[in-house]
This record gives sequence, structure tokens and C-alpha cells, in this order.
Amino acid sequence: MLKVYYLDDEELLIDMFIDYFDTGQIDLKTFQSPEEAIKAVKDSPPDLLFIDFQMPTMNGDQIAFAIDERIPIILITGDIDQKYQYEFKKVIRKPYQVHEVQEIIEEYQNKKPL
Amino acid sequence: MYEKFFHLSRDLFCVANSEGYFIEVNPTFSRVLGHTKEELLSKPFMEFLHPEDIQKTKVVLQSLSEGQDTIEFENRYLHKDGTYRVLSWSCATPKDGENMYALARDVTEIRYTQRKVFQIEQALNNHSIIAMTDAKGVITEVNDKFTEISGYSREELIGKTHKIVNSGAHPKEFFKNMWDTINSGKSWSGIIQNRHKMGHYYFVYSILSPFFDNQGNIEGYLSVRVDMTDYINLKFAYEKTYNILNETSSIAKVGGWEMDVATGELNWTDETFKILEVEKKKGQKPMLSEGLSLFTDECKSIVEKAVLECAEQGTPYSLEVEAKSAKGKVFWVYTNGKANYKDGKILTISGTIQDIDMRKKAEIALEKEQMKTMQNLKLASLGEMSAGIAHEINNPLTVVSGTIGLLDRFKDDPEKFQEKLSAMSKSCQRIEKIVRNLQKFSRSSETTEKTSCNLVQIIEDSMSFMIFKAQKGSVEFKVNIEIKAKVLCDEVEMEQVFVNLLSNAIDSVSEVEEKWISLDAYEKEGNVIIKIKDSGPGIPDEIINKVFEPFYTTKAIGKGTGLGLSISKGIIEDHGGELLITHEGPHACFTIKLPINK
Repeated sequence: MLKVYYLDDEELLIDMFIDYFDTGQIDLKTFQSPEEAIKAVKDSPPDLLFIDFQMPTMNGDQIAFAIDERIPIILITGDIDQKYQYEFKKVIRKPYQVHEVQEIIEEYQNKKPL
Repeated sequence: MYEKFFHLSRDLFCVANSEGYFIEVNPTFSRVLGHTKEELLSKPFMEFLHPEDIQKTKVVLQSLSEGQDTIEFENRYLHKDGTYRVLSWSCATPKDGENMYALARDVTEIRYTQRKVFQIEQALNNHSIIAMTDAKGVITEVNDKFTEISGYSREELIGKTHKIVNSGAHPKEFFKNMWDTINSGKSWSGIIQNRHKMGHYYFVYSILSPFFDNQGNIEGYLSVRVDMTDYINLKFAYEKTYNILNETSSIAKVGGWEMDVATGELNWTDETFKILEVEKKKGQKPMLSEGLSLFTDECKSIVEKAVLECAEQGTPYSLEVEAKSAKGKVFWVYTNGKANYKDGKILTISGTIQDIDMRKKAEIALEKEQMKTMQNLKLASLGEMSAGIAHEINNPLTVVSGTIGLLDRFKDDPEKFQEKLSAMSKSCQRIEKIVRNLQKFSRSSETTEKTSCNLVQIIEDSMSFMIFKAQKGSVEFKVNIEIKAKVLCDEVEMEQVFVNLLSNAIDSVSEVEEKWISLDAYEKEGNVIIKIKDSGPGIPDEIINKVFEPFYTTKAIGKGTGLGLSISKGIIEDHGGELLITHEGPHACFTIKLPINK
């Protein structure tokens, strides 16, 4: 099963993400703090990582550089005109449509040998 | 037959005996002295005498008794009304008898007139310059004052004409007119400039009068003069000052005015007529109503109220109002007024009026320009904030739009359904709040509104705008707010100041390793103090005094307007506060001090 982590400091966004995607199709874990997420990634690397950019203690770039570069990171951000130092696999703009995330998950599910 | 003389004469006749009693007086005696004949005969005549004259009279009587036949002298007799009459006596004692025969004339009026003439002459001599000439104008007599003022001795003057003191200042016609007047038998008066023996000039007010002989021919002339030199010099100095003042007023475009409170009549200086473009008519003074009509309709009532309050209660005023000249020109003037009292009553009010059109219009233009700059600055800060705002809005928006798709899924689970609805509603409220703040911030505040408010909310709102920028730059906020008191302020302007200072602080830590901004707010000695300090390298000494100057910026082109701090300082000062920059250690610290609203 595809192991997906989602990091966002907004509780409501995490709740919504769970409602949509924690349906037994994937193995989903969510985090509200960057530090916790980084630790979890190190302990048990996911197949796919969704992160927010703007968070109180660290931003998306800093988190991405702190993580094993082989892990694909998708940025879900409310920013506009933001330039990133890290080359994210994909950037999804908030407010996003559920299918945008769904398509990416499916894409990686297909890549992963069953 | 001789008795008729005794009864009819206007002189006083009397016969006295050697005991010193009148034994006979004629009726004139009673008429002149007011006593009846019986009264006069009832006591010694010495008792009617003025006490000072008793001794003198005794001496005369002594001489008579020693055989001198006639003696003339004067003494004063008491009148019934308590006054004294001056009597001029001729006394005789016939060789054969003991009785004394005396004749007197009442000379009281003559002596009085003589004394008066003498006093006038004395006064004239002491205070005026007097000269007499013959019919040809040759000086025959001068007093000491003449010799003093002219510098010539009496000997030098007598026998000469007045040409000796001629200054040459008057044309020939002047003297011709003078001579024509006095030759025709009239008096002439006027101011003449004369020359002192040493060469300097003096001015005399002269009255020249002809003298006539018994046939009515002009015998000579009398001139009475008064020294006017000091007055003329003073008047000259005054005129000079007045002219300078007038000229100065004209250059400064300041006019003067005075109003008679009782009549409403106005007195204007020339410049006032000029400023208000009113034609000056001789002998015609403008009235208050006319003066008031020279202001625009809007300003008329303001001026009228001020003038009336000044005239009635003595309240002084100064106003900047729009005037409308007699020719219809509308322009700005400064005008003031104050009450002038006499014996505790307001008699007149007076003041000035000044054309300040150029200055006022420049001021208004500057104000508009400043307003525009403020607005531009706000737009610039808005631009800077827009990224943060987008972020703030996009998060809750995602919740709303995303949750809509979930509602259908939970329609049979009321608890979950309610939970989703509340998440949506909460998110909507967040968006609403941001938008409201934004509206408040970008409001064009032509009229600023100061209300009593607690700065905590304003500081928190400002920080919410900047939190995104801070997070983006990984800047930590250290906030410590301990204020309970309120300050009188315009919320939006205050927010602008905090946004500006916080934004600057974030920029200034971009290059340093340790990035933090501290905000401390507390109360001290009647003020609220807010200190915003950052971990940046501080501001170099050579530019620390320039940071509040408009258009001064250290930021790259397009990054800063250079107006933020100058406008922030302006706003804080407009609130009666201070915005200071200091260093705490190596770090820059901006301190806002605002008075607590009690």
C-alpha cells in the first residue's frame, strides 16, 4: 500500500485530507509540526510526501532539504508568486481540487510495484 | 450849592474827625462799600481797612496831622459782602480845623485789569518770542526769548528787519501773502522756518498783528511766536516712520483696521483698501456690513461671529478665511482682532488683515500631496502584504471548497455533518476577518478619526499582516504586551505604523544568522511605550539621523518608497507622541511613546 505523509499546520486542512484520502486505499499519516514530520520520515520513509510551505517554525524549503532527496515531495501551498529553492516534484495551489491530489496519489500508486 | 456835588459825584466824599470816625459820607460811599451811612459812622474807619493796609494808612494820617496839606494814596476797604475795594485817596486837613476832608475813587477794576495785563505780558514774555516792529518792519523791541532762539543780541536785532533770521526755506509768495494780510489790518499766523545766527534752523509758530495809532493807521506790528522746532522734528520723524510702516505693510500685504463699536464705522489703512480692492472715497468710511460683505458667504458668518464676540465680550480672534474682494476675487486672508478698552468699556476693536493666498494655497496643495503620498504608501504596503493575505485567505478557502464535496458523504451522519459545517463556517469567518482588516487598512482616510482604544488589538492585527512575511523569512517574533490603558488614536493609522516598523524590522534581519524581532509594550509615566527591536546589524551612525527624512531609503529601487518612517513619525507626532530610534547593544530599536488617554 502506498505510504503517504501529509504535513500542514492547519488542523482543518488535515481533517479534510483525512476525510478524502484515508479510505483504506493508501497508508496515510498526517503531521502538524515540521519537526515531527521530519523525524517520522527519517524513522520510516514514505513513498510520497505532501507538505505545506508556510509554517511557524520552518518553511517548505527548509523541510525539503532536511529530508532524504529520494522521497518525492509535493508542495501544497496557499502562496502566490513564491519562488522555491527546492525542486518539488509538483506544486499544488490552494484552494485545490480534490482530484488534483487524487491524480498524484494514483500516479504514484501505479508506479509502485504491488 | 456845593452840596449837590457831594450828593451827585461818582467819587466818594467823607469827613472824618480826629478820633478816627467818619462824621459825614456821601451816598456813593454807601453804594461802593455796601454799608449804610449809619454803619459807616458807627465805628472807627480803621476797622473797615484791610489789615495789611492799616499801618500804611496810619502813616498817612500821621503826616496829615503833622501839617502836610494833601496826600494821595491807595488802600483797601471792606465791602459788606466781605470783599475789599481798592480806593485811591486824596486827603486834606484844612489848617483851621481838626476834621479831615477826603475824596476817594473806586479803582478796584482798573487795578485788576492792570494786574491781569501785567500777568499776561509776563507769561507771554516768559513763554513766547516777542518782537515789535515799526510800520516798515524794522525791529524796535524784542524780548529775551527772541535773542535766545535767534542767537542774536538785542543790539544786533533792533534796527534790522526780520530778514536777519530768514532761512531761505520759504518762497517769496509766502512772505508776500503774509505782508498782504497784515497790511490789510488782519492778523496772520503760520509756521515759519528761521535761521539761528550759528546757521541751524528753528521753527516758530507766529502770530503777527498790526497796531494802530489813534487815527487808525498802522503804526507797527507785534509778533508773538512759539518755538515749534521739537514738534516739527518729531512730526517729521513720525511721518518718516509712518511712511516706512506703510511701505512695509504694503510689501507684507498687511492692512490695518479699526471699528467704532458704537457706530460700526470702520477705519481702514490704505493697504486694507488695496487688499480688499475697495475704492477709497474721501470722507466716506466703510461700515461693518460692508466689511463683512467682503468675505465669501461661507466665511462671512465665521467672521461676523468673531467680530461680535470681540466687540461684546472682548474675546480676541485670529482667523484664516476666504475673502471676496470688491472686484470679486476670492482669496485667502489672515485676519485678527482685539478689543480696545477705555474706562472698562470696549470702545473700539482693531486688528489686521493679510493676504495669505499664496501660502495657504501652497499649504492646501501640500496637504493634498501628503494625503496622496500616504495613500501611495498604503498601497505599497498593501502590495507587500498581498502575498501574506493570499496565503491567509487560501487556507480557509481550501477548507470551504474542499468540505463542500464531503457534505454529501456525511448527510446521514448528523454529528459529522455538523462538524463539517462548523469547519466551513469557521473558515468563512477567518476570511471575513482578513478582508475586513484589509478594508480598514486601505480606507482612504481623508478625515482621520481618533477613538480611545487599547493598542493590543491593533498590534495583534498588524502582526497578523506581517506574520507571513516573518515566517517566510524564518523570523521569530518575541512579543510581550502589558498594556491596559487606552490611547486616543486612529486605528488605521496606528496599524500602518506598526506594519511599517515590523516590515522594516523583518527586512533588516534578512542577512543575519539569528533572526528575531521583539515587541515590548508597557506603560510608563502616563505613556504607553512600544519598543520594536530586531536582531539586525543596527543602523550606521552616519545615517541614523536620516532615516526619518522623506524619500530616504537604503532599500533597492522598487523595494521601498523611503517614506515609511517619515510618515510613521508624522502619524505618531500627530497623536501627540514620539517615535525615536535608539540602539540597544548593536541592535536598532524603535520606540513609540503615546500619551495615555485618561
